[in-house]
Amino acid sequence: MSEVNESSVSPLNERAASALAAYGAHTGLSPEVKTALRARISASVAAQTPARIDAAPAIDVRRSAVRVGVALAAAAALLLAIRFVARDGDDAVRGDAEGAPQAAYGAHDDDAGGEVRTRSPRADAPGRDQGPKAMAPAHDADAPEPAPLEALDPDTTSGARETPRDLAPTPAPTTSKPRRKPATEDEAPTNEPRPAAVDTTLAAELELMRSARAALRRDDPEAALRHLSRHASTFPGGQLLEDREALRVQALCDAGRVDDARKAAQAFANAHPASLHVGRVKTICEEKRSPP
Amino acid sequence: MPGMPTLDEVYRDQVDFVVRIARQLGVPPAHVEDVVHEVFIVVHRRLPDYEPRGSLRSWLYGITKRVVMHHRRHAQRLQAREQRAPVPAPPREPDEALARRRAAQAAETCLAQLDEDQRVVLVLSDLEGMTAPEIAEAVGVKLNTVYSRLRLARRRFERLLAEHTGGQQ
Repeated sequence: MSEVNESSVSPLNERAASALAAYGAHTGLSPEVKTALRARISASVAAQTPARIDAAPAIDVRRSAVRVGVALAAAAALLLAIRFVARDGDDAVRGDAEGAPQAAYGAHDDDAGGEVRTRSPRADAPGRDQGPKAMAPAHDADAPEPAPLEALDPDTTSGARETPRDLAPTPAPTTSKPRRKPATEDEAPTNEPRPAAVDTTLAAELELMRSARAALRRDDPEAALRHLSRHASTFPGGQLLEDREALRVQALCDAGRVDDARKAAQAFANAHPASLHVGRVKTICEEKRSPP
Repeated sequence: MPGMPTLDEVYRDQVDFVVRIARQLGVPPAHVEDVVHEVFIVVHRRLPDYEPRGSLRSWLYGITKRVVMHHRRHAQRLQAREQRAPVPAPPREPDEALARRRAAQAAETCLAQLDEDQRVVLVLSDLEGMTAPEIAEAVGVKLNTVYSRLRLARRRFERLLAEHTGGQQ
């Protein structure tokens, strides 16, 4: 094969180079979109913490292994001490030896025991049951900084969102449950993560949105609509209201409910004229000019 | 860990790169945000495994490529719709901006006519400024292949652009 190297490849001519540069300058995202997207990424990251832990098992396993080791060493030490004591008391050896490890774990409960417990969900399917909450603190270091914090603060975010709840057509009847109330166990669907505290509200919202997106991706718009309805009834004025309604237009369209989709798109545009989704929502169903 | 970029840093410095790569890999404009979103979720998850010795852009390219492949089926289905959607009337622009936009559109049209292999190498090299070894690492081909693709891509791009724009400068 003939040797090709950098010097044998003559550069682009000036005209082509400048057209390419113009293309490059023209292709990025606007600063507003970048900021919004950054916030969206942060929110998703917060909701996907268990998956993230899966990705970095080496470090965690090592750390927890060390802690378990420390706990076992402590248990052994305690066992030895008991043997010494028992030598005096004579017949207590067997019973105490059995109880020693438990006592040792108990003594380290806030450390090794706690660590071991928080690791256990990793064996399960990520993103289920345990939710992101238990995992989040250990990974705060790489959690996003300025925008993320705002995005993740339920108060700030929902405060900043001035959209009333009755704007967009919500698929399921909005119940009279208090709107700011976080998702509680009795409201959460059984097969979804069950947020246990206020700070997991957004995570629960995101989980529903994620499920809806996943359903759309596998061409199951009806399932997506169910997830979105669930979101609408659980979080009628939720922080992801706009995302929900935009996704709903898409799902309706994919489901062939073109009229509903167009109505929803119009309602969306009226309700959220400044939304980043408006442009996209309007064109989602364009090609289906008439219902089948 | 020293030398390990944070998600914020990667996003700040590389989001445009990811956008352009996604576009070159065939993601329609309306889906770029979704793809970028997914890419940075993966980046966040895999950042602890990232080797700062390697090229960040090569690494990002690999992630973007996989995310795009994953999205491609879905994107193709939707792309047809968008192509049929009416194109909004462009707003009036000053002459200079208009000229730049036309050049950009011409470049985009011509890029679209290149094979993906060539297009990617051309964009990574001449738009993103990556070195040939970095591109070889990103794309997973030999260095010689990068050079020969680049040579073919440049000449073909120039020719297409000349045809596209005709006599106009």
